[in-house]
Amino acid sequence: MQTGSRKPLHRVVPFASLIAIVGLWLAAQFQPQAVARAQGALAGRVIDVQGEPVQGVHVRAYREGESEPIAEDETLFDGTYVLLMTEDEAELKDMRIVYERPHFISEEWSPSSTNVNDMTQHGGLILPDVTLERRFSIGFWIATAAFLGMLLVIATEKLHNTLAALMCVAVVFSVSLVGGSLNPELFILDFDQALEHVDFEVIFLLLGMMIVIGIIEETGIFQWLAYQAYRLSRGKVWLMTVILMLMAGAASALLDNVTTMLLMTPITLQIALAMRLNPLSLLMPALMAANTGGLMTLVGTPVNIIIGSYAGLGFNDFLLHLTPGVIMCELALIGYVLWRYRKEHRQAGHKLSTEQMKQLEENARIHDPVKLRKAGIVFAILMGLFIFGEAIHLPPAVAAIIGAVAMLLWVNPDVEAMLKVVDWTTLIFFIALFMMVGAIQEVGLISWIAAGVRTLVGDNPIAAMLGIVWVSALLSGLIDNIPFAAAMLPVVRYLSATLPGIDGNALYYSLALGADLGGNSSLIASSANLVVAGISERAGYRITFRKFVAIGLPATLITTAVGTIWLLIHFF
Amino acid sequence: MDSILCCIRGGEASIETQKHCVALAKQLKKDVIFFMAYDVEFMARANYALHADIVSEEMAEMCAFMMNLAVERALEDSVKATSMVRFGPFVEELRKVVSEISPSLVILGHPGADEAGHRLAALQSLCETLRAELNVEFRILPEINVNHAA
Repeated sequence: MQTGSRKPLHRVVPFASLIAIVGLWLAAQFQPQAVARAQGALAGRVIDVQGEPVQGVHVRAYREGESEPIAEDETLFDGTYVLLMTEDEAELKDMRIVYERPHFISEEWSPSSTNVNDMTQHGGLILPDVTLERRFSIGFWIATAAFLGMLLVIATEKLHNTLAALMCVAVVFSVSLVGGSLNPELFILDFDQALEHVDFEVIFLLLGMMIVIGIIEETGIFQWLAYQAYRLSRGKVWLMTVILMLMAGAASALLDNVTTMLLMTPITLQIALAMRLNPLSLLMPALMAANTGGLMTLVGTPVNIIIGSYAGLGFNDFLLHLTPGVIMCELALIGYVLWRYRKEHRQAGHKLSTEQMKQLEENARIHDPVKLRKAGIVFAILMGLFIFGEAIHLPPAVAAIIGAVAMLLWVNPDVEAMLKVVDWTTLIFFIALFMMVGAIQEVGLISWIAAGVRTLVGDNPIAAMLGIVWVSALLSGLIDNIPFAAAMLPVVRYLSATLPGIDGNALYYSLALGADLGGNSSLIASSANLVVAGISERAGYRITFRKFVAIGLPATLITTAVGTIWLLIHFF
Repeated sequence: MDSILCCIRGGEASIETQKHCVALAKQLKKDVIFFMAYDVEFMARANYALHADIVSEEMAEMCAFMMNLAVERALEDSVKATSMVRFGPFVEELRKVVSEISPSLVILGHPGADEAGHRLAALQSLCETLRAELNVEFRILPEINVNHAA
């Protein structure tokens, strides 16, 4: 057995040296000032006209008359760079530094006599910030046309969402990589850049929730809830409507509105037909409540998931800053519905026969009570992880995956069957969408929009909030709110960072509110609307575009107004 | 088979079609078989986790419930009635059902007022084809005015 300190020292010294080297390297990465002064080095930062750091700028130092750079670097996420040179190379005379990045006008910097003296004296130099201006290349127009084309194709339903998004990604990459090699003006972005824009937290959160919801679907709980609305109301039509709305809203907040309505609609239709009511007088209120309710929590809608991940908003943030306002919106919606359908509610409602009651109970029964109990326990734990996980830095995506795994292991061990339930086309749509938003971000379209919006709202944060809420609400009725929200996020980030006197996240909640509440404004505004219309049509009750707008648009205006009031009270 | 096959697609106009069918069956002293076909094509528009089989089951139960309401109304009028619900495209399923049960008459409702005019022509053409193919009488009822509420 060896004793004494010799062996530990023998191991410690090289290890300490390694740490020192790594530490110096890290210092060089993040402390250009210190490095510049320690070696013959030039350091600085590159920003755009909006003051935002520009990542990926190629910075090269050339000696006059030479084509090979003597030093080069690429700017980091914070726009900083460090050009490390030998003492000989650090002679600033006859040096120029070139800053280049696709979609920006290149800049050059040449030293003044003061710079030369400073460099000689200190051996390093911190250069002033370099501002790069955007350049609208052919790539800009192609990326913009591809993105707008994608929105149009999705809105007109010419192609499936996923196919539309993939097609546009294919166009962007083809132009970038094939065209870009022939003409740099055609370059938009490459695979590495595209992947950096994909938010995998969103993908995994969606994946986890899809598995959780897929298992809960099998229990029959949605159908049972719809039947309970009838039973608890004892046939009073207005009360049944209110209970149905509250159930649909709550289910959408925690699960998703499409599944909620897909499974509640058939039973609701049966109840309406048995009571000799027009089914739309029950379906439309439930649907609008589901669309509204989804806004309540982080996991209620894909739009909230995207916004939450981008802005770093957790489950509790939504509970604190949006849920109370959404409850106000739901109450306003109930008021509107009770007024709108007052004639139908005055009807007594035909009493169901014994046979009809039996059949409804059978159709609405819980299919698997054991599975429901287990799924309920896992779901409660999942909600606990969402709420308390933030304290231990557990991202919602990880909580969702834990919930999904627990469901698969304990509740439904048929992994293959469950993975078939996951909507992979939707996940691929999101990946392609993120890449497309990345493309228009790279070419400068988002910056251009952000600058335009900033000019429009001036220094008025309330104007910004109102604009975001109402434009989102109205546009969401015409185009898919998911790509719209994804594209708006960098604009919102810019406004949040530059508007004086604004709560950092107020505009993100404004975007969520507008984009989600807009789902009630037209038939095409939400997937839930389309599936309910599909089921209703098969039962012989067609919901036309005009019919939907006649009921849904006033509801959107009312709930958006109430939501706006909440935002004003809460944030301003 | 000595029965009238009444094709139903739900809705207020369909209830009128059913009443007309029942009255005719009473007059001709025949039974009524209510027939409905459904599909789940609308699920292509849903973008989340979905069990196609669960949705299909729900649709089947919904259609069966609607058929039972129709049967109950027929029984109230002292007409013997049963129902058939099939999954698939309407024309194909209708062809199969007619081949199976050989009704004496097939009744179809008039296309609704909010549907395109060409549907009546298409329906008439379909009836002609099936009549020639299956040697069964097909009849499209005249348009019935119904209040479309909500």
